[in-house]
Amino acid sequence: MRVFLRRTASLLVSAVIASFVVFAFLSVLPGDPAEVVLGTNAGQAELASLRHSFGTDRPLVVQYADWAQGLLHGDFGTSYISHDPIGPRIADRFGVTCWLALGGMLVALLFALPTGVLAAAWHRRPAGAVLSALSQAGIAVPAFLAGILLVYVFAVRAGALPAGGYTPLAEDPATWARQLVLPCLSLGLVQGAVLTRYVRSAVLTVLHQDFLRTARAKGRRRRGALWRHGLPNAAVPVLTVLGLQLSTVLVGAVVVERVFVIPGLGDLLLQSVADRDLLVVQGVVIVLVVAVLVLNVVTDLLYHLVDPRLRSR
Amino acid sequence: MSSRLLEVDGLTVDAGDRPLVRGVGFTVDRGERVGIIGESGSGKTLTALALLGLLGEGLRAGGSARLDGVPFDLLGATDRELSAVRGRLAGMVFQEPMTALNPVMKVGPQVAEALRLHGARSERPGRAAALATAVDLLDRLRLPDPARAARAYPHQLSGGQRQRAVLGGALATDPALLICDEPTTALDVTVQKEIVDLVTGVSDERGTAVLYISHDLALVASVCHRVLVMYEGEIVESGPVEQVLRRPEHPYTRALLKASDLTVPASRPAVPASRPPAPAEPRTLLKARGLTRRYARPRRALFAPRTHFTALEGLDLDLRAGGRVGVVGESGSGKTTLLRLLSGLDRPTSGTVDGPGVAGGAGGPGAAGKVAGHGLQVVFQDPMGSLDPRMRVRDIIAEPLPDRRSPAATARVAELLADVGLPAEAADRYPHQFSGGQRQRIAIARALAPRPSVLLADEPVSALDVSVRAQILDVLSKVTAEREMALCIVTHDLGVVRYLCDEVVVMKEGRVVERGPVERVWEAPGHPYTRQLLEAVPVLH
Repeated sequence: MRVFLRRTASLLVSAVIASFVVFAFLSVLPGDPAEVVLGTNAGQAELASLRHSFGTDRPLVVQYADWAQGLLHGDFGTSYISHDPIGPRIADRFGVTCWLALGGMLVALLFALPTGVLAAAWHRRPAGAVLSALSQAGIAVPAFLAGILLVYVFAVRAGALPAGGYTPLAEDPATWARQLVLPCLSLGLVQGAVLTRYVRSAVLTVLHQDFLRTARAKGRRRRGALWRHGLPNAAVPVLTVLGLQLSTVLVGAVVVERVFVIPGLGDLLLQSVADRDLLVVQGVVIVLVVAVLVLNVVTDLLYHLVDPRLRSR
Repeated sequence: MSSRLLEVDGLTVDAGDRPLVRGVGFTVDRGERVGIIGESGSGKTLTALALLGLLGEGLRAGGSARLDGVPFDLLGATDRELSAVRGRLAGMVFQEPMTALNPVMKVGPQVAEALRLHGARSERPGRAAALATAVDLLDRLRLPDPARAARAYPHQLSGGQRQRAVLGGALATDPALLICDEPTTALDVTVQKEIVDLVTGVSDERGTAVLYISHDLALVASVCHRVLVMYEGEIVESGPVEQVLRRPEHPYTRALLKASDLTVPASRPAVPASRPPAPAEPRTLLKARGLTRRYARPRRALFAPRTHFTALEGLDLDLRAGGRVGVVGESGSGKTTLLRLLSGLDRPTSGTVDGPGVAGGAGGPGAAGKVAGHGLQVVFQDPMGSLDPRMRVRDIIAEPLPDRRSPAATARVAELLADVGLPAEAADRYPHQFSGGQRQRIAIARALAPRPSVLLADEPVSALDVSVRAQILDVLSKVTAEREMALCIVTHDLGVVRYLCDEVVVMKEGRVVERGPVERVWEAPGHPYTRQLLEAVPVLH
């Protein structure tokens, strides 16, 4: 409980700092929203009035305070370009990206856990070496390339799955699932290959621990000892990597969304960068940053749950 | 009915084509306690592991081993067959209680584990019943508050408590054979005595046969009826304990007996006696007064007052030229804290250290200039870890010298190597090419290089085999006597202090409970704790 409070407090502090950094970065970038909207040959008076209506003529500190205060209420401001409120748009897109990231992580886990454990258990056999080599090769493949290959094989050649697009879950669950399969695979397999390496090394370390021998001395078979005593211990280091990877997956989703034409956060981000819609960019980035921070805290808490040695400190 | 329990014949263990254990044969009767004695690398642990099919990867066992009540040969049986024997007919206790338990699983289920693995499925006890049995067992093993210990995780228990839990796990099914592999080597002497008493108690009470592996002759003598002496993978001598220890036949056994007997004053090296009579008032090289070190504990709650843990309290210590002081204590006595304070690696909470290890102290590097005999050096416990594996011995020893590439430095290295009894060509090799004892010699040479006036040694021989222990102590004794240095040894091993030191300081929980000349303390210990320590040490009669 104390750990939870402490971690949450540090999360809040980090979030405040992050919001400030994000704001500061985008403010020092050249490019006046008013000029972007009105074009280069707009008159000074028009610019000034638009700046006034955007609020960009105020001191930066006031602008930041205004924006940050809005964030606390879930108000991300109004787009300079489309004049829509930004909050609902981000919320919409965030949901889509979450599905993609979760699916990707699920694929990664389903792939990495068995492969990693087997690669470690068989590390003296040819089969183990083959699994190792496969995961090594998987690491070298970037997610977008994996996506293109998957589209070519499953969508273009076999025609079994759609090559892109997105249908909300509420509208048509079957199509939603079919459309998410390939994006999740391309995101998950590459992450899974990386994770496999960590699972393998964690299990290998555990295999040589004394307590595994103790368990076998009590009559556990090799496999039983690994299952009952080895894997819970191997989970500790794997969890750390998993936390880091969740963040990577979230960011990786941005690229994969592009390949599969999925209207997620990444799509929104790239779109608004192209449009110079800085307030939207600011909003998307802060949402991603906070998501990563929250994931880290969750990982930390899970860590305490898995390892009793951390709890008593 | 035959009383023979275990019959081993022609047991071999190979790593690839390298034989590690060769043709070992012995028997164990029901209820009999047999010891296997040997040093590291003698094959004693491999022998035990081979019997239960627990050898590491790449090791192969051959020969035959029959256990009464098992229809097949233990060697050559499959993992499935052996898993029915392990934990049911034969239990095993390992050396390192810190790592022998699963850190993320509660102690109770680990003790109860074997109960729920063996026998017909329908007859296995339920989780709760097995746990209750485990608590009973822990109670029988005299673990304080067994119900609570069963709910604890291993890291919440002390080393001795953990070893009881491991022992409980091995005894849960009341096996006919208990194999103990150095079960007390990592524990304090008083705890060692408790564990050993438990093992012999269970063995007497339940008729459990024990195969007890140890490097400690006196310990095996106090536990076992019969003893096997192993050397380089073979049994070189065996027989009843009395006979082997009284009339050893094999030269190795004799050497081992001689080396492990640090307690006999007659075997004291000649050097201390030939030391020139000390001047009336030898120079005091290091003076510590009222040394206290407290560590702040983490707060229990946000505004709770900070509590402190006192590792060391009000210690006075003088180290004089040519004097050899031994600081004795068990884990948690504050002896390592003391060493850190004396050497200036840590600062006392209160009290003062005036000596060469501390900035501004007498005889410090900046104080006396470049006269012979200044500064302070430390020899650490683990010669494997305290030498940089990527440096040649020459560079390791010359590192504290002003110019380690100069011919003078080279000459000094050769001189130091000779002092600690290593050949000159050792300078060009790397630490991993030496044995543990040789590495400790290198560490001593390294410590002597800057001509310190005070030498501190932290458990300098606890990581070493018995046969080299005496040699290293002799080296320490010789070099400090020749140089009129002050030596302070911190150790848990009373034998080491008696062998080497003139003065002893006995510590318990951060305080000095007794101090005085070694012989006086041994002959007439004044404090009950000192008596308890002395009685806990197994002695050869």
